[in-house]
Amino acid sequence: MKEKTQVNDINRSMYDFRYEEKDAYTVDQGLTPEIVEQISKEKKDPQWMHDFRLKSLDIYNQLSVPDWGPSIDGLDMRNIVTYVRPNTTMKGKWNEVPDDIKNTFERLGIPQAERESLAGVGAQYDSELVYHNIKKEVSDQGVVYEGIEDALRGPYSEMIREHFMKLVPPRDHKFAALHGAVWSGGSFVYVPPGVSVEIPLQSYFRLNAPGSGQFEHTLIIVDEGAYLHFIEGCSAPKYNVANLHAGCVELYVGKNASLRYSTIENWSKNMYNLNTKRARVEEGGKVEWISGSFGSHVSYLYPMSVLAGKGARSEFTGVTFAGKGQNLDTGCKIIHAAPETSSYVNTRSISKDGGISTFRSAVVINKNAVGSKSSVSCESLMVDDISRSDTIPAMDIRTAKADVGHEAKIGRISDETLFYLMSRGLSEEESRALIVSGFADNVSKELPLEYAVEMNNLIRMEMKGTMA
Amino acid sequence: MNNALNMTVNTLPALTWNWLRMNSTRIEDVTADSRARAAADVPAGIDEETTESTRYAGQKTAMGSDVDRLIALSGICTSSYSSQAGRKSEAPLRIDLSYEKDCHDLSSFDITAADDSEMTVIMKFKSEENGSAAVQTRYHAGRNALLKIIQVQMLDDDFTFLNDIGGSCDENGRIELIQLILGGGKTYTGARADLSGDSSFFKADIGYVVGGSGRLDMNYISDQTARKTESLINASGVLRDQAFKLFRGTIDFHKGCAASVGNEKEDVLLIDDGVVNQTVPLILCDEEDVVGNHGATIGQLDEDLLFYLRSRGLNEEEVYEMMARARMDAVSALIPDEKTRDEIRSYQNRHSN
Repeated sequence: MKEKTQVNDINRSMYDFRYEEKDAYTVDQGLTPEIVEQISKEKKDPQWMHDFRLKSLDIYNQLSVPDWGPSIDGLDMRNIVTYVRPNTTMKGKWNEVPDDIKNTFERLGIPQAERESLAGVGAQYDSELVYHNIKKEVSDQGVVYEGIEDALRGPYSEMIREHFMKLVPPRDHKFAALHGAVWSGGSFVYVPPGVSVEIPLQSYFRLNAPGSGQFEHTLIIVDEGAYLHFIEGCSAPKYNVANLHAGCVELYVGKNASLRYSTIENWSKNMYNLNTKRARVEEGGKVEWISGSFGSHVSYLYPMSVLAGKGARSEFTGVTFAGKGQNLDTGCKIIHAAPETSSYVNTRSISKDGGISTFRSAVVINKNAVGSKSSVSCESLMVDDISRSDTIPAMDIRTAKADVGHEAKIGRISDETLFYLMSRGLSEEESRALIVSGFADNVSKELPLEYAVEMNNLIRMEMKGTMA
Repeated sequence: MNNALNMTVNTLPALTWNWLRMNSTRIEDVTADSRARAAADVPAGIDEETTESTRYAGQKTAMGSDVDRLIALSGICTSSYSSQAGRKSEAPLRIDLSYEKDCHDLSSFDITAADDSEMTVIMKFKSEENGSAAVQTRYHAGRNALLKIIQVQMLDDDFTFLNDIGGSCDENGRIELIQLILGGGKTYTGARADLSGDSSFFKADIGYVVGGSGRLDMNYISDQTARKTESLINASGVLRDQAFKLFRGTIDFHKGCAASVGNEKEDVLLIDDGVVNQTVPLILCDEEDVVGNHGATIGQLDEDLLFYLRSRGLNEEEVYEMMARARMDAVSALIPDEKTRDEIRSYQNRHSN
């Protein structure tokens, strides 16, 4: 009789710790005009932002929840606290950050990463940034990396007004509207023309309060001929009530500029992750999405690239690991809106222990996008017989002068591969662990070494289960 | 009788973003007046009868329940054809439907391949002028049975056609479907196979040419619930002028269909800049021990191939016409009936530029 390897869930113990909220300021549960007014007042919003929030709330109330994805019936906005401000202000030095918050980020390895391999770090705790810093040599190049709320009141206020929620308008979907109404925190990055930021910037988002939502806004503008690698990380301790993440990322990639946006998402399994990410790429520009989705109870996550300029390019590399109690609906959208644009999508998903993973994509090639090319490859691995994996790719091609290729595969670990590795001296358990971690190498090899190691450790450590 | 219906057809088994407008198709004011006159050539070994309604009322079809409503509203009878158990029918059952100008016809067919039998059905849909028609075909392939359904569509450019298929296979039963869509204005079509018998098999070979302002809306579903089932959906098409085409293909592996395989492939040649091609191929997997694959290639001819053929003296237009014809010929060649192949060739020659 064939024996099966039990593959365990991702080990989240390093993320699953918590501190009591001490003297934090919170708004009431639910979503009302009064709460939105209260958040706006707390933020000292300019008038246009105040009006924008209220208009977004109106739109939120008009729109329906999606009828096509995983169920979000367990998310009741009447029970969600949309704003939690920790009892501190944003600091530029870690030793000025309150101990409990500093310890949280220490345990997550953020200050150490900053010292060793980052050009700047932003750290958000619940609804507010608590730490933001950029290396002097990088800021000397004219690179701006600061809290978006500070930037909104500073010399870049007009730039932010021009770009804020223009790529992701509140009408886009219900949770974009929610974000527009209650957004708080997040980062603003501006890279001047021709500047190449050689080492990455990172923002880390930690949600600590039970039953709360996090709605950070990330706005990145990489000007003509510039280069940036931005890393986003997120985690939360697990609670037995629903938490919500409805952040928004807007990326503007200028002519011949290049932006690599890497995410390792490891929210706890009570999290509804309804995040929206979008990039607009001008002529000759390139956006690269590296996306690892490991956490959350339910995810709707599909970074979109709008290839607006001739020769613009998009690459999406993703891995999704859905374990027990998880329904992760991930993928990407690409709009080819200019001639000679190209896109490349390469994803892997792993389902185990009753987890559900869905790869969902859309490739749209507009009529004017003559000479455009797209290649999509998605592979899914079923690790046991109680899990589920779906692929739902869509292609809409409106010019004959296009070249589109798509391939999808679903299967399990092949007996032949297993036999080959075992005949080389590995146990079945080791063989399966090696195969599954190798399956996700498309993402880890694209990450900076430190992050690749972390991600591989996350997977590899847990793939080494016991024989059932 | 006025049976004008607003219908929603070809709904995807798993929905995606609504803004793509691929989840289903809405058809307004579908009128169905009368039962189409079918000319059937029934060979020995095939039993024919007319029933008040389909014997497979619970069987799902690809286009969905609105086609059932359309049929029910019209009150037409069902033409039922069955092979005899253990008997291989040498000659095909031929069903010809020639539609007249301004018709609004309906047809309902039940095809049953009894246990251990083999049966081939060739259905031809023809019209020289505008009109509309709907055909629903339900089938069942019994234990160890082989059922081949071949459909050739040669309709007028202003003709609206709904062609709905659904059926199931018992243990080791096989359904092989060949569809060649060569003409028609607006065509809504789909086929569903419920592979509920162990080692049952579904194969669909689809060839289509859509030109002018034609519209082709398709939905193919392989629903695999039993062990060791296999599906193979191959679609090959050509779009020209301002044609619109939407291909939906789903392989649905249900829990318990261990050791099953599903493959689907679409190859679309886009000739003119006004065309719209939409493709949404789904693999839904609720079973570990399966293999599912999908591949699609959409676009123009490979530059190397084009260069090679042009260097042999053909101009670009001739190369494209040749390759478009070759795609249809490849599907036509699968039809095990010389008479039908000749008819297809004749139709193609009449309609070639």
